[in-house]
Amino acid sequence: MGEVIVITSGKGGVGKTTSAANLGTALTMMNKKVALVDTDIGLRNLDVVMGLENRIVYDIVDVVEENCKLKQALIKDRRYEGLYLLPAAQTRDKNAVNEEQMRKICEELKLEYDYVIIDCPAGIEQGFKNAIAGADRALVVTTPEVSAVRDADRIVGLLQASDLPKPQLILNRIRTKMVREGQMMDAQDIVDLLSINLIGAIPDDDNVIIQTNMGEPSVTNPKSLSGKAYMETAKRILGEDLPVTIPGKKEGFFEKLRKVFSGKKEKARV
Amino acid sequence: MELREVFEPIVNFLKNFQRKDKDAVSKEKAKERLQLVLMQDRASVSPDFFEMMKKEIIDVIKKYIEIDEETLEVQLTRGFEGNDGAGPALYANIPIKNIKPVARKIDNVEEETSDNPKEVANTIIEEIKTVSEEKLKDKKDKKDKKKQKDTKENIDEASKEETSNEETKEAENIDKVEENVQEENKEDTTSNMKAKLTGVKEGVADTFSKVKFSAKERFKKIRSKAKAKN
Repeated sequence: MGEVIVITSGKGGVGKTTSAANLGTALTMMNKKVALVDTDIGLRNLDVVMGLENRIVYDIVDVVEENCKLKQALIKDRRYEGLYLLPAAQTRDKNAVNEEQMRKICEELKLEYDYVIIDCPAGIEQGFKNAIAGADRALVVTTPEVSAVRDADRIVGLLQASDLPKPQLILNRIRTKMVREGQMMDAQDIVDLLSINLIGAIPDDDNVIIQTNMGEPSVTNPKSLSGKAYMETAKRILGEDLPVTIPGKKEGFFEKLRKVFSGKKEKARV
Repeated sequence: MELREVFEPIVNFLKNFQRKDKDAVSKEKAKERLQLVLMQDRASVSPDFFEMMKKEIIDVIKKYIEIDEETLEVQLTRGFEGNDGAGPALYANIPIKNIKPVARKIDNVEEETSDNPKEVANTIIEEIKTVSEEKLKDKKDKKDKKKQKDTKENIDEASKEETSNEETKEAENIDKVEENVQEENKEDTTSNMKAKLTGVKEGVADTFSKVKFSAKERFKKIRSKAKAKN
């Protein structure tokens, strides 16, 4: 029996879809069987981010309306063994699916897959309710900006009021230079404000845009800093007790000097 | 490029001298604003939260004060004049109907400011009433417990009779004491006052050991004041 993980945020544009694509791919790279489900009906994007937009035949609404079987609608990603995508419909709206139907799809997918990753739409309306209906676990994505943090807090409140009392936090797009200068809230600040556990801290990374241009998640690039952070997050999802690496955490002057001379310098700057 | 990274902390360190005021570090401002806005959001997101807190606050206050529950308001504010807008504040507006006598009983005798013997006497009546009520209630409770515990009916009945006898006796006593005190209110001379209050004092001492102490103290006070006036 697999686990259904919903990736949500409240605010749009903070990296839900990117996180879903990366975590799903990372988990398949760790030999897990993963189904990605796009619930953003009317504004689907997980397909383009994954580079699977040309292979869509059926979508989630077709499954709900029984135009096809669930298996027929799932697109197999040929690059990564064990990765499947259930795309959202583009020409319908959020009310085309209800919570009960969503729960049924999740139950069915759980039997086949180790992880079901649900990409939730922005907002707190029907689309959000659908996305969390069948979930066993929730990851809240936010960026270190006041608007995103505020919306994340509302989402945490709504999750706690439903059956997901312990959501975990993915802090995305951390700009290490700004954090160091005190012009951006750091991971600790945001954890203090939201009072939920941090499961991943992802640095702001140009690679995400470059890789998405090509329809590839950044975890597939071993040099990408965000890819590394997503890999680490995936390990924590699997239950590994790994401390969260905070991007841009202050390193001492001598620490840096030592790294330069030992030639083991990691590219910490973004 | 790598050397630049080495010297970056030094440059930042020097830059920090220029940037002395905290406002230049915008993250503090962000944190501060978020703290407040999240608090307000949370209070309105879960409608139960405020109602639950309000109910508990009311329950505590109700023990001591009669309040008007319908016009009562509790809200979270951005701060008020009192704390110079230093941060969020919980603001409660609670209209009072009456202060319960229980609250006065707790008052220290030393702090009693009333010079009027009439008022003091009234307080004592009220005290006697509440204490006797409590006592009666205690007895009833005990009786109920006994009922549950005892299996033999005989014992049960016997104890009932006993307690009910005591109750009636006590109730009579209370009535007498009250009558005494009320009478003395009508005649307002200090000498009468003295004599009758001593009578009251004895009655009180007999039945209600609880009030005994404070009552004594008060009578002494009244007496000394009356003497001083004479």
